[in-house]
Amino acid sequence: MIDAMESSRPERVEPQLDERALRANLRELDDAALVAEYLDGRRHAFHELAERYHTRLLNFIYRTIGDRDRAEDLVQETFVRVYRHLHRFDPTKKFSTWIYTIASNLAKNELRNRSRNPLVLFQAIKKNWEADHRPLQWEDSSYSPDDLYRKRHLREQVEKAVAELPEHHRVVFVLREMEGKTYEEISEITGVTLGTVKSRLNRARNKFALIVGPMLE
Amino acid sequence: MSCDQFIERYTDFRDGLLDSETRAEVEGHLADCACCERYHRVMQRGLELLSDIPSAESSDDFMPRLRHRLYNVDCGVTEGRRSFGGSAALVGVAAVGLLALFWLPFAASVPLEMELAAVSVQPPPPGSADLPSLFRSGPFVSTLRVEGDSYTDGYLTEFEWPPASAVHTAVAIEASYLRSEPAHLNR
Repeated sequence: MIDAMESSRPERVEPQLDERALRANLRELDDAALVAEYLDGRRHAFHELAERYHTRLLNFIYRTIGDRDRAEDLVQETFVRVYRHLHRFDPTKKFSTWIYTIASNLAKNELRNRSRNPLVLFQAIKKNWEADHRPLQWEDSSYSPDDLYRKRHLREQVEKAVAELPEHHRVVFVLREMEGKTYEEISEITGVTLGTVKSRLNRARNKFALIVGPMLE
Repeated sequence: MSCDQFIERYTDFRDGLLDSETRAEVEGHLADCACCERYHRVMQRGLELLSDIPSAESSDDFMPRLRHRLYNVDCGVTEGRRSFGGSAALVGVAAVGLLALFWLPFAASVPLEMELAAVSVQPPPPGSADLPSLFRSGPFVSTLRVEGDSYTDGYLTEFEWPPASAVHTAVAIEASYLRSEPAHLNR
């Protein structure tokens, strides 16, 4: 298997072009073209993919598992896996769906491992507690402190409401509401049927409305 | 349309997936039912707040760390590629080790010579009780013998200074080689 992986791994044959020009050219390309460039030996293409996706994946995993630092580790792991297996990627599929599938699986594994490890659970609770008690920082002077406090408080409550959703519902909810994925993409990423996606999304939205309802009125 | 039917179709309604007829039914129910209207309003506001949440940003060292990890992945592949060569080298080293083991009893009679980092010790000022740095405690792998007194491998933890004999009152050592034979101390 290692041999098979190596045979398709691109060699380091980067032409000595001006790096800025090279990156600017790569930025113009879509994901599929970047993958093709990388497989053709242009290593900068992978870094462009990483630049393009790291923040999105961080937010997706962070909203799914609720731990920012750990989310960053998992984003790193996602890219390492993509790097290792990019030669196996089916170019007829969407790259974004593939990378989100990897990230989603890592997030699910993380949640599963946490549920088995009480210490991690305790650390997450402690971290949340610390976040709740951090001093307020006013981010925009054009609003009154009261408005800002209320807005910030509401945002935090809404974030908490997402965290309270059951795991399967939360992944679907985040993919739809925060990442703007289509039902078909969510179905591919999570490996469930379209019907299940719809039903989970409907339940997640109901639960979300129930949690945030009292504080929004 | 009942409230249950409304809730059931709400996801499709929200995502614009209903046909025009069903959509009109849902909108009609929304206009008549305060409870479902509240549900819709709460959902709308909640999702707006959700989209207002500032995006989490990666730490500054995210990309350098990633590059480092990818570099390690490449190195791992290289090792894999050379795994056969690595195994052969391991067998070779084991063979040399076995030979050395058989050769060792014969080698014991041969003076052993090893290369160490150059050592330079200044003689202490006359009358000083300070030890030259070579003779302070610390790692020193060799056998040092001074006029019949032997200080063996490992750590030189004890050394008498000034030595009892007057011949050692001043010592200078400059050596990059130490032999297992008695060390030559320049007086």
